[in-house]
Amino acid sequence: MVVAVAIVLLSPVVLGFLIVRSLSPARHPRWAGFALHVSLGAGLGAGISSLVYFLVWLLIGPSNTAYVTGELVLLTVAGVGCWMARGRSAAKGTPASSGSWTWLLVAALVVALGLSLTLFISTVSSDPYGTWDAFTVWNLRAKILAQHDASWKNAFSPVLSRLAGGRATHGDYPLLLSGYIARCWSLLGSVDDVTPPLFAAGLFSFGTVGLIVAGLALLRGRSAAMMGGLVLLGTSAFLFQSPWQAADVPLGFYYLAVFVVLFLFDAEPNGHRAMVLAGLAAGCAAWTKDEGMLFALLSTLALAAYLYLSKRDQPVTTLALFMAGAFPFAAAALYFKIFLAPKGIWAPVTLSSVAHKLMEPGRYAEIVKALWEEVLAPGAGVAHPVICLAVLAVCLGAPRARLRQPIVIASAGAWLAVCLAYFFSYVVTPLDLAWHLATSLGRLLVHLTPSGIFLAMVVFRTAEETAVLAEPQKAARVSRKKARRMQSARS
Amino acid sequence: MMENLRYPVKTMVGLAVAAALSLYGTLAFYEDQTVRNQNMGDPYHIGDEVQRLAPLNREIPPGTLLGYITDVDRGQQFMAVQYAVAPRLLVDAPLQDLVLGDFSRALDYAEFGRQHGLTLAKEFPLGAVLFRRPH
Repeated sequence: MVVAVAIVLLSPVVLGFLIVRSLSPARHPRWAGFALHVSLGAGLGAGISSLVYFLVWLLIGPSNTAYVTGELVLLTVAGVGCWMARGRSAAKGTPASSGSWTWLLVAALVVALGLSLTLFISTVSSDPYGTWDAFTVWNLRAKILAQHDASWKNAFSPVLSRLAGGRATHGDYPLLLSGYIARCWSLLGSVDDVTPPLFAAGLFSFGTVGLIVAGLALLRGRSAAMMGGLVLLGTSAFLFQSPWQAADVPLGFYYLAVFVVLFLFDAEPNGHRAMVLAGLAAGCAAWTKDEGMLFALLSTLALAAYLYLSKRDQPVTTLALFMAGAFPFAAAALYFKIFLAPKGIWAPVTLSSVAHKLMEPGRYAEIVKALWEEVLAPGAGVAHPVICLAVLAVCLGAPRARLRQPIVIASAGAWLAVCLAYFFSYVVTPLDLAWHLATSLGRLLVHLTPSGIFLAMVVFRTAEETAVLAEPQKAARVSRKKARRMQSARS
Repeated sequence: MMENLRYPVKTMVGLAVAAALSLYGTLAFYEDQTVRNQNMGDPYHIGDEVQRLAPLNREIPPGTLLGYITDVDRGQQFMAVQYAVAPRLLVDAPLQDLVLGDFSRALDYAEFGRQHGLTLAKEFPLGAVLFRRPH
């Protein structure tokens, strides 16, 4: 039984790894390249298996045989692709030589990771069913999706949407997380096994840590990578929500994945194929939550803006590869929204109600107040991610040339646009504003936290870069001293 | 080459402070969450509901639409029961052919059912009862 559980849980990870490996070259340092392929592959594999499960159930009907056949075909194709790409490796960039002291940061990250993992296991052992949203939305729908008769469509029935006054269960939400868990339950033959949702929670939480560390290591070197990981693991809101089994940490993972792949693409002259991975991640975001659909659109616009500003070669091919990755998920999400899902919370919104709410200053004040309280929440007093990033900003600084880079402008623009969209979604929400803020704002901030930390760390100077600058300063000091000595000798 | 690099004090201080603060954040959260885990456990008692309603689930096919009637405040209890009986769907009214009774104390369930136009079908342990609505 343990072997069966392991195979069911790990096959999407292997599938994702093979896909990432076949589209993205081997990178240096090797450990970071491997960590990137595993963590990015784990999240993409979960998304792809969820989509295949949904398509099989929808187009062929509930059948494990059909699903397993589909997954085996994908595994074979990805395996062949990986084998064909075995000789490809990225051009070695400037070696990011690190001081021996960076091992202290490595040790600190290992301690933080160990504490987080221990805590994750202890939390899911004492509360294996997760938070309110886990058992009223995501896992509830997974239980229904895992059925082998027509009742699987109850997962998006109007009855489900009306439960507990229509606020508890969102039959209209996209199906990535529920579909992935349903796939595991269906293959294991039991919807009472808590292992799949717990595994999914762990996969996305620690996948996010792996992705930020690997991405920063490849782009900025070891010290930036360790600091990025440490700041993320020092964010209590992220740690708090990791074992919740809701879709917010997965969505944050996919946002981060898009930014990491875009920056890697920017750093590599011939990395066009990797754009499929960014598209897959954006598509997965759209297949995870409504907010992800907006993000997919904004990240497409950001890529187009980047290609225009950077004057990269083959812009149309690059954009087409991105859209090819995103298309299957976006199409499934749109089909689901248009033809299957019941009306969501935004259904009663009208243009006049939006206009009316936009003109109410009290709503802005209420949102800003809630935002202030929630932004303070993710830390333990002074141990706050914003303070940590501020300290790094002051001490390391950000080179002006880097701030003007098209990839930085486009990515930061997309990130800020998502923040603004979240803000205005509260302004115009048809729900009671206080209730809506209290039940969702903290989760929304966790969508943006990993990518926010990544974008900050990727913009800051690395310790190694400040060291390079330190040499001429020292030389100047020495020559000034020499000049003074000579002057005093002359006088 | 690596040994020749000299890191400014400002850089080292910044990294040390940020790393120490982050690590402190992880540790502080570790302590808080450990206490929370000890005190709260499964706050919505989903595990208890899953165990309590397992015998009832064995009697009703998956996908069945069930009515719901209870003597307790619905609130969170309704959703906990819904998760425990899923993939069966609960409708928060005793109007379906089969109605799940969810009771906090021992009652004359047959009499309770009669008052609501329901017939007692089967009693399960710990206050779980299955009613039928006569046609």
